Amino acid sequence: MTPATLLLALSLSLSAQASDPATIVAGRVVDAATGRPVSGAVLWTAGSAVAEPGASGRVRVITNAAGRFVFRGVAPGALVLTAIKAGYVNATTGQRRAGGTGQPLHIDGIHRVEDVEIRMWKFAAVGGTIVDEYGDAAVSVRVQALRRTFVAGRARFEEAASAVTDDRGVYRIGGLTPGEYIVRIPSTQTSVPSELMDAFFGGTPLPETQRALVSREMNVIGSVIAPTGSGHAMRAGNATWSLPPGSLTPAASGTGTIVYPTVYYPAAVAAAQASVLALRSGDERPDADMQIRPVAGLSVSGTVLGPGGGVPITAVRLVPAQDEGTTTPLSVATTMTDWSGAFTFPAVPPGQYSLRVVRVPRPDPDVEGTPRVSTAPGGRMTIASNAPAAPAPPPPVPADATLAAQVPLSIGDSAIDDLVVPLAPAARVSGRFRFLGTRDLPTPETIAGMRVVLTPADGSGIAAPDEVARGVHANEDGTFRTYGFPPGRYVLDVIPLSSRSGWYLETAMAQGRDVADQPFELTAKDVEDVLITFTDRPSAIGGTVTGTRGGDGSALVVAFPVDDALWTTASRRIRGVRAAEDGTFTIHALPPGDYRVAAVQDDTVGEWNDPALLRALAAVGRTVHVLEGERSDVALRAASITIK
Amino acid sequence: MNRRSTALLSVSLSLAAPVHAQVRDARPLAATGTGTIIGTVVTGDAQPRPVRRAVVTLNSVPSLVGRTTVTDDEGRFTFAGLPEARYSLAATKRGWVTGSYGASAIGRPGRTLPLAAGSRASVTIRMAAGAVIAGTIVDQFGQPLAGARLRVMKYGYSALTGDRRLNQVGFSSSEPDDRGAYRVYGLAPGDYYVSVTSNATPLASGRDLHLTSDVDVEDALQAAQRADTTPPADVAQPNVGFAQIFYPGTAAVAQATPITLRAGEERTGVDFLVSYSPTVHVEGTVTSPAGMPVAARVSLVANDPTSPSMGIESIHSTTASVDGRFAFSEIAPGPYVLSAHGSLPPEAPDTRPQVLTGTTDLDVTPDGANGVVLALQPGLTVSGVLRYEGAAAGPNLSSLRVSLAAEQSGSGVTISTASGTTVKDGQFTFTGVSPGRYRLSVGQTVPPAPWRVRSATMLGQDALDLAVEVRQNVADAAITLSDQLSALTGRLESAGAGAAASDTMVLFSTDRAHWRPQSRRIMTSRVATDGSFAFADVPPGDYQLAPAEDVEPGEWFDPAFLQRLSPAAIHVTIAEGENKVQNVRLGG
Repeated sequence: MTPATLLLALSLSLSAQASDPATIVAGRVVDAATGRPVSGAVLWTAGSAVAEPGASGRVRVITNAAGRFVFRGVAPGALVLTAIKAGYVNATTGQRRAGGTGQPLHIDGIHRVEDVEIRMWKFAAVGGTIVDEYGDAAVSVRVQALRRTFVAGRARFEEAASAVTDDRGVYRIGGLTPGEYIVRIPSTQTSVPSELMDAFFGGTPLPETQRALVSREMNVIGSVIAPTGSGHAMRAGNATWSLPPGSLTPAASGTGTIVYPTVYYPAAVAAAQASVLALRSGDERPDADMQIRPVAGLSVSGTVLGPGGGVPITAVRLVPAQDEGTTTPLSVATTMTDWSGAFTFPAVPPGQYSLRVVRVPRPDPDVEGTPRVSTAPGGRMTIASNAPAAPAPPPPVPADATLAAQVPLSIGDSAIDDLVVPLAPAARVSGRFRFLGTRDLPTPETIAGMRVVLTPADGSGIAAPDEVARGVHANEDGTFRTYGFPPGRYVLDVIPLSSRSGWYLETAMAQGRDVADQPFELTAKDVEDVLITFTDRPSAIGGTVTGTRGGDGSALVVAFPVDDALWTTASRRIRGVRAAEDGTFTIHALPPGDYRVAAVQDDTVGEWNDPALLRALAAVGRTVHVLEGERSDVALRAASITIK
Repeated sequence: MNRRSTALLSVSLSLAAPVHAQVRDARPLAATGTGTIIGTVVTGDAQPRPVRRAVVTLNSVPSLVGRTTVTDDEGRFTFAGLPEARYSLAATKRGWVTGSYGASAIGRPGRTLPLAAGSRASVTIRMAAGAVIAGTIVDQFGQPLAGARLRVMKYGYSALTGDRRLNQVGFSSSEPDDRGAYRVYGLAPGDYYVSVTSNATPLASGRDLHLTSDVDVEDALQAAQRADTTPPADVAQPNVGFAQIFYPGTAAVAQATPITLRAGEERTGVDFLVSYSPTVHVEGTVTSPAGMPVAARVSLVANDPTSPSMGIESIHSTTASVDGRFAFSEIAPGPYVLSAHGSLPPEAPDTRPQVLTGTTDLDVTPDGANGVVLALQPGLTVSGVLRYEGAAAGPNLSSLRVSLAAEQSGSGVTISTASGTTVKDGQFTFTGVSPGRYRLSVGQTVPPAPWRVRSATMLGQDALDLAVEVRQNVADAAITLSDQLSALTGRLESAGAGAAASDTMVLFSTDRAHWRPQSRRIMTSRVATDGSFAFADVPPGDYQLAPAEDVEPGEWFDPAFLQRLSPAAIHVTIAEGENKVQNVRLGG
């Protein structure tokens, strides 16, 4: 088409004034590495361009053999396309790396778009063969891949994906986004007091409430509830092993019981000594072989004591004493106390451990339910209790204290049978929300939907029941009181950080310090009168990244505190955003303070939490003073950096 | 299947116990004793090798003793401190076919071992490595399929309907991975059918799925290049979905090719192609009595008696909107059952919410189904009393669960209220029961308790063995428990040293009305290695007793099978509280 014709065509359409609601958006999906088309990818739409419920653009489309797709009937607005395909990371328009931030398409309703390109990056995969101590294939064993991430200023490994070995001992973990990984075979023993397992299947059934209490706690620790003749529960004296599918079976040896401990590729007992695999898009590592070797386990038993004597039906966990370097601690062994507070771990490998008990006050479980309907395979629908209703509000936090204990334990070459674990009331954090500003206050329902969460400041995760780990909901009047936490350093968070009604977390003052950003020490004493303040005038940093030809839409902008002491906690102050197509960017809701802001090419960085990256960026960034309630603007150019 | 010709069957009757009402010993079997069973688990091939780390389970028949242990490095195991009883033993290991003590072949059920007090038995359990099916599944572009789900099936008797249909077997495997490769292992010998279904995008499901055609693309490119304002041509966009495809690549079970596996066989290259097929919409409204708004959950379930028992993906569920409208997309044409349930808020604070239900058959044509109306009706109430009559101390009634089970229709799709409810002060109540045919009973405890259900009636009719039509509220349900337990034991003797003894005894009612799935008047007993068999807790009545061999699980509920056994069966009458002894001699 000649420029003259183009001009004519444009002026014709402009004079038509009304936008064409039946806009076509067409394009193709290609493999980012090879440039070849990706057929059979499924795309769906989101965004204001297809917001109408009956919009003809709200469909899913499968690409043809040439990788092409067509969406018809797209209204003007922002259009977000997502593409999925087996073996590839989910992709969208504007991405520059696997799983990177994309940029929506802007549909003006005048032009039909025919040249959208979505690039898809392949997942990486790691696999190998697992054998046992005899060299025989280890079958149906779970293997996990953990990805390096940065939490609280240090590298930690987070569970990413897992797979199960087949009859040859071969496993393959696909679906890995590019990054650095370690591989491990996790081993957790679960056992319960034999008298409790027998109570479900013995001649004298327990009363319903007691049975419900025991089965609830067995669910918490992940124990199966099965008869000892089923192959899923194996009695070993006072303790009955729970053998769910995929567990590494303990066995009797001449002198005692042998168990398989956790092993990291290639043959390490701790994450710190594991080999780190750097996987890029499309990498296949089929040689991560490992061997599982059993060790003799020793029996550890004792009693958990509380203010009123033995503490019954409570989970007891053993985790490695040393910080594993993962984001959640892997329990080596878990059991629960019987009715008198006694517990037994039947076979623990020698080593250094921390024994942890967190007893959360819980109301008795509800035994009688109302009718519910479920549909089973074969088309048989059964009505047994609740019909659909609104989700129940979260139960209020009981007034009783949480009891906790954390006891170091060293297991050498002899069994331990007289352990006493005294529980002490754990400190709670309480306080209230405050909303400073002129906006409408959030509704009581919105406030009740916000959770106050405490997490260990070093990012090691907490070995405790869900109620403690997930945080507690605020009351409708904005007050809150958490369950108790064992002594340690914690970071306080509110989830969600901002409410849709436009309120943003500003500070959380406890004992004169802002604990929303900095860790605080929790001892045995309750922390009261924490004041969590929300503002409706959040601060922001905005601006434009310019390149050689105007706005640089390929940039990633990172803002972080000038003071590197603040790099160690929650990500509230370390933020990264992708520039829009025209190079503009905005970082919303930053707490006031001094920041360095820098721009880099999006495809050159992985984790922007990485302190090494932040140091490199600090050298090329610009300083911005963020004042309360104000937006600071800054002009940037994308820089190239070297990360040491 | 091998059917023993039972034309000649001689019978010897010997009654060792007096024929009068006898209360069975109410004390359960002691959990410990002085017997010992030691054994080894070995492979089943010509040169048997020990199997390490096999999980061995021991269960007494009836199941009062249950133990688990693991074999050592030499494949050995020991169970000590066992009371006198009949025991079954099994060995499992991941990737292996479960071996049962006394089984005639790999994967077959085993025999029980009688153990006397203080004695010591030595056994061998044979296991075989499981067979393997492996292959690749791709779509019509030769690419792996997103969200693919593999199913491996075998013909067997359905526990729900009693007929022979394809049932999914539990297996260990990996789902097709991101290259489309799969591997299924640990299979027993037999004939298998492999199928694949897919949910193309678990996210954004509920939206139509279109396949981009070349016409579509051509037209779009031309429209874009025209740069004028004429509306683009309306290109037909048929909705597609994934039907279940069976190996080697057909949607019809009748054309599927079974994969026959021998013990330990590895069959690779079981590859096939899955392609898209047209799908349609189903839309309609749910109405409630007096037009009251009710939050209803609507389900659409495929109802094709010829197709294999369905997995969870063949059940479509959605929630109707406030005005009762519902819609399903990505539905393959065919016969369905549409059902809905919802509840109204309780009338008084402490009462239960009222449950409304409705169901209808729906034939979905290739044009889809619009304007379907489903009326919800209040569920019925069934209430009654639970009593215990007996000399010995009875069970704590409030620890028991009463069950109301719907009778299965032939197609296998039934809406039922098979709820359990507990008993308060001897009273029980079911609410929200949809009209239909039901049986009433009390759930058994594990281990079995020394009482049984003597009778259960509704509307004055037997509801224990036969189903009762429930169309209005029932207030006269009554269940009576009794401590009068009856049993049948005996010995199967075969004339002639070389005659192979049958491995199963079948006891079935003479009344054909009782020949239905899960009937309590059809029982089987494995024959122990010494020929003894036992039926515990037999409901009093008239029965036929016959030996059988190589019986498939659930086959004994098939009326045709019982019909074949009848000519050779002997008649046995069991009175209430009687411990009958009946020996059977085979051979001529």
